[in-house]
Amino acid sequence: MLMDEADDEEELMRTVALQNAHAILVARQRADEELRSTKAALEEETRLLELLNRTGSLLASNLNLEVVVQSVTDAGKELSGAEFGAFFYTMTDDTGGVFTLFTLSGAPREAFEHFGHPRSTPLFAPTFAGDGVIRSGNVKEDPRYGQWAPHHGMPAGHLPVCSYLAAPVISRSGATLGGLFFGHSTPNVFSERTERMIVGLAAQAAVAIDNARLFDAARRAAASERAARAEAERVGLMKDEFLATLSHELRTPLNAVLGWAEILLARATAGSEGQRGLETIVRNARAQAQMIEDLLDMNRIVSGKIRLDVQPADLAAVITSAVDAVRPSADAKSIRLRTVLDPFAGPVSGDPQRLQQVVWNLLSNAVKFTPKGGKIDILLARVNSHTEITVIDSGIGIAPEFLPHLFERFRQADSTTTRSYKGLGLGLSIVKQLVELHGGTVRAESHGQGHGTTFVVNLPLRVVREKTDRTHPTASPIALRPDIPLSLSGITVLVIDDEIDAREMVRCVLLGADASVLTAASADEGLNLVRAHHPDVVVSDIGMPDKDGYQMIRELRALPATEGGRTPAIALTAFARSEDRTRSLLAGYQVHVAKPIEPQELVVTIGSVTGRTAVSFGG
Amino acid sequence: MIPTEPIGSIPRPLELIEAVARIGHGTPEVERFYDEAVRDTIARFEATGSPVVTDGEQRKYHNFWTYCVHGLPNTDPEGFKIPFASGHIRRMPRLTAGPFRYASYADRYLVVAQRYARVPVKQAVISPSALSLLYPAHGLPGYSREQFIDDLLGEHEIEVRRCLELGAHVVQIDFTEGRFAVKLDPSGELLTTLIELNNLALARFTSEERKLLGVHTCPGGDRGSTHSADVDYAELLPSLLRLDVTNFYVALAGEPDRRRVLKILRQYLKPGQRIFVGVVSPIDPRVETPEEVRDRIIEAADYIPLDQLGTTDDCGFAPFSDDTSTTRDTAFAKIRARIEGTALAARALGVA
Repeated sequence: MLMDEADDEEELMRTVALQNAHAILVARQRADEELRSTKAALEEETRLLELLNRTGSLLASNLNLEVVVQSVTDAGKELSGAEFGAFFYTMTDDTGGVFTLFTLSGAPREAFEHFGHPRSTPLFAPTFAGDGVIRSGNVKEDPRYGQWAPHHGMPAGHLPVCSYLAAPVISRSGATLGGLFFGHSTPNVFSERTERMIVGLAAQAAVAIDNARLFDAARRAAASERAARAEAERVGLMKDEFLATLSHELRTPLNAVLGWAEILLARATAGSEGQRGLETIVRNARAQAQMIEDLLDMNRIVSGKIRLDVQPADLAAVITSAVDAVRPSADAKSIRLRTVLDPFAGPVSGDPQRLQQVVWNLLSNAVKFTPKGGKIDILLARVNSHTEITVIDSGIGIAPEFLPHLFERFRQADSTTTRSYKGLGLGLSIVKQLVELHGGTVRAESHGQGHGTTFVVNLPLRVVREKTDRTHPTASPIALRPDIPLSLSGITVLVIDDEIDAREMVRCVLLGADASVLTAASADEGLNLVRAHHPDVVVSDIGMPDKDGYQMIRELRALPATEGGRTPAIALTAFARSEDRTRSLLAGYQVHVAKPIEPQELVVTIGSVTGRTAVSFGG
Repeated sequence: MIPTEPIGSIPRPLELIEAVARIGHGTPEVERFYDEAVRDTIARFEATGSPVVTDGEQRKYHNFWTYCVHGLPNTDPEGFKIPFASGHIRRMPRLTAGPFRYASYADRYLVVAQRYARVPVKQAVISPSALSLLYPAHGLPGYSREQFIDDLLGEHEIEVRRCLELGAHVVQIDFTEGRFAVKLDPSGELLTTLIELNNLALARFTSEERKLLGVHTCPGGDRGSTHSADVDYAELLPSLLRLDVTNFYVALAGEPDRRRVLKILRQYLKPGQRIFVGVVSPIDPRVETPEEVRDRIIEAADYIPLDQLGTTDDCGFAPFSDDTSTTRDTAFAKIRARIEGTALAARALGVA
């Protein structure tokens, strides 16, 4: 090849290649356009996906029906590219009546309001019947729907519609919940893909609406349950309040009766008729006080307000105390009380006072239903890992058919018995509740009427035996030694009570213990006396008109120490519930003593809060 | 480890060349010669320890450039002449009518090679820019350049995708005309055009797919001669590295001043790109020693980060099917030197 030829060849090749440059540039532009359109399509796709995702999340998380249907309508309009969309959905009212509501997107509500529910035309009916999707490129020319001019299947005055897409919303149960409708004034807007997306949206909508309706139903049910529970609580509270009030009202006069009877009894001539009369008054007043106590106890137990002061409890001591308490009444009926206590029965964990109440209740019950000359045995023994307290009487026994109901509240064997044997029928129920609170059981056995009854209390043993048992914190050594003569000599006590009987009774008790006594008939009067006389201790009622004992003690505590702000104070009240006690201690009292009071207990308590020890009492 | 790959072609066995000359390409009788050539090539390739092989382009007829249009009824042999330094000329076909379609795609070679190979197989294809020269200077009635370029890009994409789908280790786009383009048009405009066209083709693939694509450039290699070795690499490499592809196979062993080339590469290399530098030269009849190869790699590692460095041959050993200037023994000896030298370098550089 000659050089010239080679040069020509190269020149030609260069020319061709450079001619191609233009074509390449065109290709580049086209590629760029394609890229742009692909990018735009991708962005649109992303937007739709995000919309679907967002709508899906909203539908999955939102249980508000109005929000759900509006979101579905908005999302459907966006997804389909429609000019406007509507969601007609059916609702059922409380009476079972069905009605239709609708939401709109892209059109004002007025544009649809005067049409009412879409008519049952070939265009609309299939959607409400749940008969699949209808998609028409131009509904005006579609022979299936638009053959009737001038409106072509649309009501007169309807927004202009060419492209039409409608999908039923069908619940999981198969019921048609409503229909999604989309329109556009230009033809062929809705593609097959649009249709698929709207069908998907309708399925999501159905689930969301189902969920919202279920949630609504559940919420209504919960609301009515809440209301019922609140009502029950309100009734329960009213009952508690009623019992508290009742006990207060019963205790207040009883307090005076018992107090005065005991004072008079102490002064009565031994063996006189007056003494016997006073003893009867005291015994009956105490019995009544016990009944009130039982009522309150039962109320505390059933309302879960009872609190056990659990500690190692010596059951032998508990039983001995209970036996001592009932011995007088047993003696009165010539009933032989025999106690057999196993020294190795072992301690249990429990509240000694409550356990004593259990034993006392069983013994009282036995005494009550055992005729004169009968016998009652009380046994304490260890049986396997339990301790058993057994009370066996030779009393009237229990009919087999009544045994299962023995521990129910307010139940006594029959009306005849009710008349023959007084009481509220709460004692055994309290026993059962208290024993169960201790993790134990109680059962009754009887071979029938006339063959006596056996009660067996089963209590779990304490797992660890402590070296030294604690004594009950409320059990003062003084209280356990009632024989010690008590003196409040040199102590000035201010008694505040609006009830003159109660006030005088307390005054009399305290004077009997050599105290100096000041009395006030109201809180304000009491506060003035505190400032004026600096008493050593204040004993105050709680329920007083104008200013109650709580307010009084708060004001007292607000005083400087020099004016008596730190004077020890005892709440003496017929408000005997544990929450009353807590409230009075929180208000500023040192001690809460429930009416009716035992004179000796009051004196001991006053001695205790003023720092008098047993020895000094003895002095 | 330093990756190492062949460029592609291996001289055909003489029996094959004779059979093709005697019986003719494309006849059923010649098929067994092709099969045997592929089998033997891959066996000898694997014997060198090469972690990646090719079919030696045993079936590409008549060469790396025209294999895909060979036999098209709408071409004639009156295309461009490519003059080589030794004085011989290779002539390209010319398109005579539209539309432009490939006669065959390279995946048909790959599928056969994979049948024999136990290691990954890479496949070389011709660049769209090389094929763009098929369109005649005077144009074609009823078939515009624009239509042609569109068709060309489409056909190239089909070919590459078919190879990727078969699981090619890498699809290497032969862009040997790049340096030649600078020779034809020292202004660089022609090169820019070719790069642009190839980038248009590459844009059709995702970034993940482009990690499996590479571009090879060399000054040509035929009958122990080049077509554009006299063109300064400095004119080509900055543009070449603008190609939107991961792997570059750059002839380097035969360059008179390798460090100068390496400096240019270092200057224009982008993150994510890998340069496979040529460490053996097919047009040099002498077989390099592994130590020589090792030293060339250590030299290259002074300029190119090791995690962006690979090794290759400067060029195919026989891009044209009738080239017997290099023996198969020499080709495989050089390949073995590349493999062993690369391993030596990896040990020396602490990346073995």
